[in-house]
Amino acid sequence: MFNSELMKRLSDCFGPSGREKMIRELIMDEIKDFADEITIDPLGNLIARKKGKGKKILFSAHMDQIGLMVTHVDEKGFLRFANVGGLNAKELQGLRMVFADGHEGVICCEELKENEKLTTSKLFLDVASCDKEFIKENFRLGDMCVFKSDYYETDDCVICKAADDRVGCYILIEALKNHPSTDNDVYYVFSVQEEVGCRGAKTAGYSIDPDLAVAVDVTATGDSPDGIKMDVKLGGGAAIKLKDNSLITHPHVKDLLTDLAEKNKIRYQYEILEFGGTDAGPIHTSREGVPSGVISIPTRNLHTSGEIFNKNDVEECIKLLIATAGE
Amino acid sequence: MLKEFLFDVCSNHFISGFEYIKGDTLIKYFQPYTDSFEKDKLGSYIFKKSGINDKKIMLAAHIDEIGLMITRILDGGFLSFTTVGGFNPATLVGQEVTIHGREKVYGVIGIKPPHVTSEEERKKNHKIKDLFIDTGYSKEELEKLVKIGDIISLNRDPLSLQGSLISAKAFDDRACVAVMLETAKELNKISHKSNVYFTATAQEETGTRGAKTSSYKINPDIGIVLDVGFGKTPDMPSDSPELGKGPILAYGGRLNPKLTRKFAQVCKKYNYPIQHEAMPAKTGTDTEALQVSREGIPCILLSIPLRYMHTSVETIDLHDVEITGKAIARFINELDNSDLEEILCF
Repeated sequence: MFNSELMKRLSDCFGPSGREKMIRELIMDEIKDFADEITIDPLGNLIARKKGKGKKILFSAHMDQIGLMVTHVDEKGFLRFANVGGLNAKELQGLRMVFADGHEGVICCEELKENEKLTTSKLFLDVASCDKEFIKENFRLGDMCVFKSDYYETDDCVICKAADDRVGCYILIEALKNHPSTDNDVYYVFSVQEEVGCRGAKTAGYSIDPDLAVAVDVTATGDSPDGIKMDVKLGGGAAIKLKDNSLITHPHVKDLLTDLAEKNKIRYQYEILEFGGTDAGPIHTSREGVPSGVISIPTRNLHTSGEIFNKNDVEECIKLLIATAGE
Repeated sequence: MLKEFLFDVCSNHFISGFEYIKGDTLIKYFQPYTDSFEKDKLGSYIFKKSGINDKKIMLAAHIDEIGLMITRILDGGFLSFTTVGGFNPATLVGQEVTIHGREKVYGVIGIKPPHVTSEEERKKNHKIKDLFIDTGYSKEELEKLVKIGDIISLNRDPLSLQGSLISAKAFDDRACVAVMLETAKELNKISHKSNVYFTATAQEETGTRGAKTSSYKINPDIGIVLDVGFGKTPDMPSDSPELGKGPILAYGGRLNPKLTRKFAQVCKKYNYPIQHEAMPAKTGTDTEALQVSREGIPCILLSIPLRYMHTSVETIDLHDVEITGKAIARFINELDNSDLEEILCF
């Protein structure tokens, strides 16, 4: 049964890269009764452990979301900003943004000359106030904001912001709550700063030094009209990644995930993403190397305020992750 | 012997990420000259020649080659693919390939006839996404044999050209794996005190990943990185390194200056020809990973001049391989008899 209430809370929670405090507290509160041990590492990764004497397994989903950082507040009270994570200037105009304390703004664009290219430097944030004191008081260089957009769902799909990768966090939380009886020593990592270069995963991979790692993250699909040519589709089940720019899935991990899916009658599809990367990138080259793979959630409109995924796919991902924990 | 090894190892495929498949070939050739063998967890092969002191010298040459991977099975039995490592799409047109599916499936990559290709289209470069593989099977038959994610290697037998020139796919970087074999052989004749690790690294072509994990595992005092360099041809800059004139010694921020100078001195002393190349910033080799492994590893970089890099007719001079292998053995011997701390201190 899909827990819409939890998914909505995860999606709505503020937490751009480097500012994961609120989302970390939310997840911590959600999982504290289910883990044997919970730690927060120096970079801010939240690591929940289910102890065992067997092999060490690391699961990772990143808590951070893409956002913007204020770089300049001008004398009239307009804000300039830089990307935190991969955003396309073309898609930002007109969007509503929200800060950690709830203040909002809308992204506007300077008038462009003929044939002038739209870049982030042409955009500014209007925070809706003529009161200079209010602006000075509440908006400072370095402050971050994220998309403001409401959670919505139909019978089978969800539209929300930050599905990348809060839906991955959701899957880890649900798997942890239903952790199988096993000898394995399993670490559920809710990582920081994935969107700016998988930095949290790098340190978590080093400190845990696992025998096997599986990242859980969103992936693109090839099933929308203007879509890329790709075999992954919404509703096609859990996607087992075979390759992206950060990882060639270890052949044994590919076989393991495939066999587990077949054995447990979990619907799956293979995924090859010709761009991008996940936490599995830095984890698999950590220390002497870690055989690694990724379970992906097919998601449309990645890195926009309206990412769309399928609830059944999520259920299949949870089943596959639980099966992996018990393997 | 070197040629036999190269022809043997280049008749096999070691596509990045799938290097574990054909390891027996390597073991067969390296085992007689080395004392122990292990792998890192990404699939790099590490052959150790034990010494009598506690110093560790790591040689690194990548065993992986660029290849292709199936992305979609199309109607009519055609296959779309992506690249594993960097290809110029033009070099794929007209190639025969093998798909490593449930069983081996042969195929070809063709394009439409020139008669029906417009002037406009001819000016454009081919794109990988527009190319496809034809196996002759129908979609239904093909789906039983291959899956998305199966790897594809190019079919190309190694070839002897005139003189000591040879041509094959994947001399990048197996020419340098052969260099390591020559060094191992040579070190049997010259004494050595250090422990020498001959590392055939995995996944260099996709981001020096095996060098990262194997150097962490070995934790060496010195790194000798071996890769191929852009050899001179009529369409290359006139100052490009030439085939047959020895290895190319690199200078730049990634490389340790004193160690590099030491190598040049050893070559001079023993009359081995070398060529020189400035690499101020990037080297595009395993050095990138080795230099910053753990607390940092002082490295030198040697490249074998090679023509037509990342095509299936990569061409080298066997003499360069032999000379380089012997020079490295001398270098190791000289390092053993020098004060290493003195050389490595800035």
